[in-house]
Amino acid sequence: MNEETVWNRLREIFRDVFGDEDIEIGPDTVADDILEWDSLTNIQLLVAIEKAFKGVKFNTGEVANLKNVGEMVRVVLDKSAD
Amino acid sequence: MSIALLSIKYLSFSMMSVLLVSLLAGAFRQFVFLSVNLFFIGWLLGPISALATIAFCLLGFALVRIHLKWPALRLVYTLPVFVALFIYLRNYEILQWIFPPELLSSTLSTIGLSFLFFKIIHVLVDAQSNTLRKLEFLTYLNYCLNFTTFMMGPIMRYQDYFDQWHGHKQAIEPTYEAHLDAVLRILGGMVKAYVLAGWINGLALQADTNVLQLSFTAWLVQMYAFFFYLYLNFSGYVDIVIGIGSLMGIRPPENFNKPFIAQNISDFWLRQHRSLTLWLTDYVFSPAYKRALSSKRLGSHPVLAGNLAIMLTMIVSGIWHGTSINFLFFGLVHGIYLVIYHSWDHFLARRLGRKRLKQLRQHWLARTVGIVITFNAASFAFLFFQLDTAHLLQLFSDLLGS
Repeated sequence: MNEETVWNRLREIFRDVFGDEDIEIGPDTVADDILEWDSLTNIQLLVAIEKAFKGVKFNTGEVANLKNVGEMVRVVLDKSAD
Repeated sequence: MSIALLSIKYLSFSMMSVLLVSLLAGAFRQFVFLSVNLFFIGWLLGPISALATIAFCLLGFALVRIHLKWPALRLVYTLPVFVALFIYLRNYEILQWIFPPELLSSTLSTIGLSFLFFKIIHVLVDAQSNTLRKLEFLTYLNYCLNFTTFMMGPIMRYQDYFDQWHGHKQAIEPTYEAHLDAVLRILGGMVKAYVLAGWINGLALQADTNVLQLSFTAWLVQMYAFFFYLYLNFSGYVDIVIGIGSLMGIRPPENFNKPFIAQNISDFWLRQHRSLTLWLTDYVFSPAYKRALSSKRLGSHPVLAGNLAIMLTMIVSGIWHGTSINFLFFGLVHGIYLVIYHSWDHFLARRLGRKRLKQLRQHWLARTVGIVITFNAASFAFLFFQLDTAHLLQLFSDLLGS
């Protein structure tokens, strides 16, 4: 799977989880940039990503250490079986 | 705390340590800092308890190494051993009802053990998740025993400590002003922890206060005073250790941000003992909520799944705060607050939409109401933090009897 496909799918997931069609994301996007991105929606987001990308599973340490969307994309690219 | 941070002994010890750690370099600096930390642990705990604490760190290290060597090994095989040892060493009140007294570790001093426990769990989980980056024995030991944060936190992360120790990240700007700020922070912390907290403690609720004998006004005053006492005492201590850490080149994370102006209970926990909240979020709440949301049964009920994870997290928080039963109630009360807030927030967001809800919450009236409710709720919950088990049970039986 190429990076652009991951970004496109991820953008859809963000818009769906946060219920906002205008959300734009980039490698440096962090939780503080999106109003509703708190500890609850963070997990909803990660579970939605796991469902959307086959083979992707975020372990506890990864969830704790993810700093921005760029790192999320990196984990997806590393683990995705698609 | 058994070592007064205001004492000449502690101040000269910490200033000597600051000088040594900032002036030395390489492996020698690592060994000197380890000697400093070992001296401090021995001074604080006495030889036997210090040895038990070091053994606890070493066991943690061995388990971390096992996870790094066998990445497929699950935490379920190592974590329970470590948790059981912690419960035994910490000598939880509940153990008295299960084991005969000769089997209990009641003579050991366990100051700092709760903080150490969470630090090592974090290293263990990150090692198992392959997110620890690099494990070094001496860096790990100094991370565990770092004298600035040993007694009462803030809970630093290993990666953050590692980066600062090895100079990949600066603790503070290398300017005169930044160093002056750190010194002023130490002085400010002393005023908070020793002058203001000492004064307000005279007005505050005590562990053996008979709450039902107080008038309503006296009860309110004592409750509010206890909140401020705890804030001044703990945040003053944090100011002192952040100041010392900044001068030494290893700055612990921030822990307080005016908790008395929190607008809701979730906001309160991001302002009060923040490093603990972030730890609990990462290592209890997130895995629990993720597992619940991914499960077939709870996956279609996100609000319920969230509330269960919140309750579990606050129960762990309560039990972690102290060994007696009153701390379990402290956690339960905060769990209930958070569940109410989370459910209410979800309900409002569905009715009004997120954007409209945000606009409403920015109105001065909504903010004032939020602050007043949160302040009173948090003050009330500290009742369970401060009253000892005997007086808390007395209070419950009196309330039920009347």
